[in-house]
Amino acid sequence: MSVALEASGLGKRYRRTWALRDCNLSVPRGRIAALVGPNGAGKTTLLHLAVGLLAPTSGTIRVLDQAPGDPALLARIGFVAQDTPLYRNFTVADLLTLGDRLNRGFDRPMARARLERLAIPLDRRVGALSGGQRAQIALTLAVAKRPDLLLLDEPLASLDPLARREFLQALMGAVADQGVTVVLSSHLLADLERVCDYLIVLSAAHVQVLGAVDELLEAHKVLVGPHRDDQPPIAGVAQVVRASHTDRQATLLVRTDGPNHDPAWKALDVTLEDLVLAYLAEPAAGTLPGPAHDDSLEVQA
Amino acid sequence: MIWLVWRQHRQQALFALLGLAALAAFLVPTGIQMHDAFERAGLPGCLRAAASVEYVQVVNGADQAPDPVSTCQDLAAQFAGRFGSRGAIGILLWFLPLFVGLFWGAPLIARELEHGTHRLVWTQGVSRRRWALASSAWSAGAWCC
Repeated sequence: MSVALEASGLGKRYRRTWALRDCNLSVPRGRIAALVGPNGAGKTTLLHLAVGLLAPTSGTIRVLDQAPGDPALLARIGFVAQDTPLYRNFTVADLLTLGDRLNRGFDRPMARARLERLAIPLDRRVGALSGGQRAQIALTLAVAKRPDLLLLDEPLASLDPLARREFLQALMGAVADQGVTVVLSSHLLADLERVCDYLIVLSAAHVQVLGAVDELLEAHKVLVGPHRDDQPPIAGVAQVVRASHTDRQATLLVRTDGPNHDPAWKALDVTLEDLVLAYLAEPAAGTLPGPAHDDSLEVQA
Repeated sequence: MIWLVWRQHRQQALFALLGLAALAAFLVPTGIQMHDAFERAGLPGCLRAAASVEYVQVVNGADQAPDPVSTCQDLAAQFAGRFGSRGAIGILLWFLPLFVGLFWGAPLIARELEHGTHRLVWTQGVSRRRWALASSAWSAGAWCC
């Protein structure tokens, strides 16, 4: 399967601080990838590097098998920046003209139809519209480029729950229609779980977790069992990501490498939210694809 | 690209045009009036005569013949007294390029960065170089006009 976004050894430094360091990742085509992590983890930096707004300090990033920044490549990428910046004194129709003039292959009828379906008036000034409507316009502009890759930087942040759902539905619709790869950064894990099938967790400038959501969910379990201070290794557990316990009972979020036959432990499925939160709470834990796991990263319970 | 630059700056252009028109509405009649007054006062001839006066003549015949230089000076003083205050407008014109740079040139990129819209316009299928070229060409063109 070919790759939509690939970084190797990627780093970006702002003066003395590294916003992103030694970052290796790849997102296969056709995926909807969630890019999550705490504030300042480097999500925006990664997306800006991918779209050529920033140049890497070290390493390389390749987008759709090309180096970023080339206008021909940019026409194939739909990018919605954080806070969905638009020219506020333009009318909605003006913005469509902008997209049309600046991009070869801009699908204006489709954009128009989409905005009509969303009941966004074309003759209204953008500054007079609500945040949700602006986000929808920004997404429309990005989708109407008929891109191969959509990069969305926290598009849900300014939306109320209903608008969020509509936005994600619209996104899913566009993905289904066009077979586009999406990388979507957000804090709203519960929303992401519904739409995303690939996960990138960034933490403190590093890639902490990377992989397909279904595989990650399958490989992680919550184990509930007796609490012991000298916990012997549990069969089928490759790594304990996060452990919490009361006096008698321990709850472990673990990465498994085989079936668990230990009757003392009850295994429960994890949600994406549990998984991400467990990793974010334990920055030293990490899981990356491939057979080689760095043992030094493993956390013992 | 040209369309975008026009769309972004057309309001500015309109105001600039209005400003220029207002300035012209003031300057052109004033200029005509000044020209008429200059002619009527006989200043062209007087100045030509004054220019041809030689230094020696002035010293020798200062008391007899009417002195072309001093009459001319009087006329010129009158003229200057009438129109001198409007010369201040000229000083304004000196600073016009500065204002154009300040209010048009500087915000070209600064405003995009302030509103974050560079992230919109620099990620479209047009190179940043072309964007910069079109934007500054607009400003330069407007200034030349």
